[in-house]
Amino acid sequence: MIRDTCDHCANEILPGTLVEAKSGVYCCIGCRIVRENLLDNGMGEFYEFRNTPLERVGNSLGQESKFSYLDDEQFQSEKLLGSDGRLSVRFFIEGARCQACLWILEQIPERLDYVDYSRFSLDKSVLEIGMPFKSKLSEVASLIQSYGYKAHLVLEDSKALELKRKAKRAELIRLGVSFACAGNIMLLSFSAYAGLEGELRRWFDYASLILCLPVISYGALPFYRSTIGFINSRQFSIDVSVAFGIVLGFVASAIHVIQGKGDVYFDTISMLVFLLLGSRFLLDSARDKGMNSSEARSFFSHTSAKKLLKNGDVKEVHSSLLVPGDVMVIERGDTILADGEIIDGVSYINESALTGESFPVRKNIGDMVFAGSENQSESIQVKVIASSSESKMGRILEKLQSNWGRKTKLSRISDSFSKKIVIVVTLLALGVYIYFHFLGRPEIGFQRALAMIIITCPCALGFNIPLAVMIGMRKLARFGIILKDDSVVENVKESKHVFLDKTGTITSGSRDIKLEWTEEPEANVLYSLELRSVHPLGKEVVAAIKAGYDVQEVELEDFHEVPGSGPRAKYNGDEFSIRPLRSENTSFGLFKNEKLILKANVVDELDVNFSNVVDYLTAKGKKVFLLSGDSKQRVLKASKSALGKIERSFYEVSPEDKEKIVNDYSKSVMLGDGVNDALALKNASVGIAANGGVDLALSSSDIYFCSGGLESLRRLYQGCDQIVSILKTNVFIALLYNIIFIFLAMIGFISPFSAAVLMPLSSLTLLGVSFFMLSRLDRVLRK
Amino acid sequence: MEVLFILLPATLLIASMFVGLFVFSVSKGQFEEVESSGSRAIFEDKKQNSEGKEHGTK
Repeated sequence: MIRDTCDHCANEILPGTLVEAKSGVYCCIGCRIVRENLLDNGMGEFYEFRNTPLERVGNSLGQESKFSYLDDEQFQSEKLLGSDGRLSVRFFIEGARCQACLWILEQIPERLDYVDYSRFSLDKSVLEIGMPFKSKLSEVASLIQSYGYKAHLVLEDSKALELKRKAKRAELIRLGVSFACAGNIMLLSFSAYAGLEGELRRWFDYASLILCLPVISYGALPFYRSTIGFINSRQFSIDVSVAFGIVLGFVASAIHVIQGKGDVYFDTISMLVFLLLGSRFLLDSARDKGMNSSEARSFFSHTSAKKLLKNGDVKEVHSSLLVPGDVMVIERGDTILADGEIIDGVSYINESALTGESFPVRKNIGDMVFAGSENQSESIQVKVIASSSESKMGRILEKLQSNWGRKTKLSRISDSFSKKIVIVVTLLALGVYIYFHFLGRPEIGFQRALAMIIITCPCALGFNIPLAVMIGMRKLARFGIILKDDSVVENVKESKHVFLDKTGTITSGSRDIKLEWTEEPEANVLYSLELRSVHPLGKEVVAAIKAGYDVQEVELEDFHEVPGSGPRAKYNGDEFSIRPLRSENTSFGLFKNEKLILKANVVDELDVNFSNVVDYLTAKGKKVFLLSGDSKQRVLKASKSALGKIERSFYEVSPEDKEKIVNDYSKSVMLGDGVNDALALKNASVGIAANGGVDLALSSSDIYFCSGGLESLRRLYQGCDQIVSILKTNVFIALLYNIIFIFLAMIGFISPFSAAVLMPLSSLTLLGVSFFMLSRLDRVLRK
Repeated sequence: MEVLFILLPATLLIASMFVGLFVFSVSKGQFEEVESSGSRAIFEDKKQNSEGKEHGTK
């Protein structure tokens, strides 16, 4: 037998690359070194456990073509050309983690002369490459791949990106300037707190006035903008009262300084502006660090397709350039990128991304295949009927994007609460002023009104709650639970119905195959039959036989595969066939001369935590549902293992039906992983994309689990409970504080000055309480 | 205490200088990718060193 696979990595040895040695045959020197090293150190068992070919890293062997679409002029000019006539390309790099990665990725200009620059951001895992138009981008991509990283082209509007970057810088400058001014004003004010009087005090007050000018004219601009927005659209926010308060306070203070009598509040104003700006900046950065949804979306549409040219050559093109009538060549393992009709070849197509059906479907010439599904066996040719964006998948994607804007909920809890307080207090303060005005003592009225506005400072809420939520989110992120937005926290806690997708969520995705011989075992025959079968399950059966029996391949006669059934062949005069059996405990059987000799059962391996987590959720009063596109039999079986705790199981449902079912139940949480779940994820109150979810599911969900779907679900609930209770405690204390002190300020017990001192004190108290409660969150999560 | 009348404007001047420096560094993008920039400084150092060595051996 010709040995055509490498002994180490089990990949095909390409012509001219054979490396022969005593220890075996290899595809390259690297493999030889690794295998000899392992064998020398008595670690040859590695090869027993290794049951799939190792992923081949590196490009040198015929992989360049994979990226050749990047060199396409049309593609470059349409998608990558910057305003300066050069290419500015962004890659999302998978697998880069440390300084060494940074170093090697930034060495690209040293290796390829024409590359202008290469800058890698460790924070975002994004590599930026600058190079001239029409140069070989594919070489860059191959080089990155050869270093062992996976490079995903990020297609994002470079102008939008530049604007975003500029806006971020402007915010940071605003924050820094406000901090510098507020800090200096605070230092100057200490002398006033200590009782400084006279000429020097006036100088200090003037200095504070000057320092406060940048804060009031530049730092507080965002608050003025919101106020204008309020006037235009009647959307009330804390900003309105903040703007109102600081302008009023500033004008009064300035008058007092010039008159040389009365209190000044520059310290209060500038601190207020700084703290509010700071909290917003922190929140924004935390959000950016999480999943950047627009980037996640663009991953999906970048993959290249193999297009068959008229002269018979195959050319790699970007999927967006495919038009109806083109012929795509789809090889084993390729993802189909447009809807079309098979014109040559027969293969098994995994459509689970679209339908949720975990078994591949056999497709013949004339059958339709859909974008998003994966070819699992033979190479086929497909005539494009609907381009990527017009495909079934493209339309789902589009529907999601058009729904996009609707998901921007603010952190409602603190917002709505502080809004109410602020409105009430503003009205009260106005009332107090008017009252004293009519009594003929407007200066007392102004003092009291100002004290009330300052002391209500929504700081405690505007700053503290977002900070607590942000830290809580970071803590969850450390356990692989990434929340895209703080608004989902409350939705999780308040949820009533939990929907779980089956495949890849409560099952681990891998399958366990149980073989049960009813007659004399014929392991060799089964092995040989499955070895030649194109059905993707064949590989798994082969692995299962190898694990249980010592088998070798035998010579079969008259081997053929019956569509919709299975392989058949003759061996030693006996006729063998493998056929599907759809009964309770059997998936398929091996027949010898039409007599059943083997029952094989394919079992989805359930997540070990399944029943625990369902217990936990039902104990919390949530109703748990299964929602899967998989067959009735499989779904009900999974449901049974939760011992009757599952409220109801939905099976064989289409993506659209999933959406409908989720919509029918209010306050729903959906945990899923496939594109077929995307619509449902989007429409649920909270959509959670589990481990290994498709990019699309990520971009349509609110929460992403990096690992361990169900265990993470329990943690998520615990985390959200704790965060919500922190919020409630904060709100309670803030309410108490505000009622007491606003009342005291109203009756003139507190001057604006002491209000300014009390305000930060109350903020600090709340901050302390939050941090104490957050430290408990850690303990809960670790359990 | 009269010295404060000089010190006060001087303080403000120095403070505004630092603010100016801060604005400059932010607008140059120094606070983006804090992690990468830190490491990059080390590499550039090494690169120069190795180039120096090459010259030495020649």
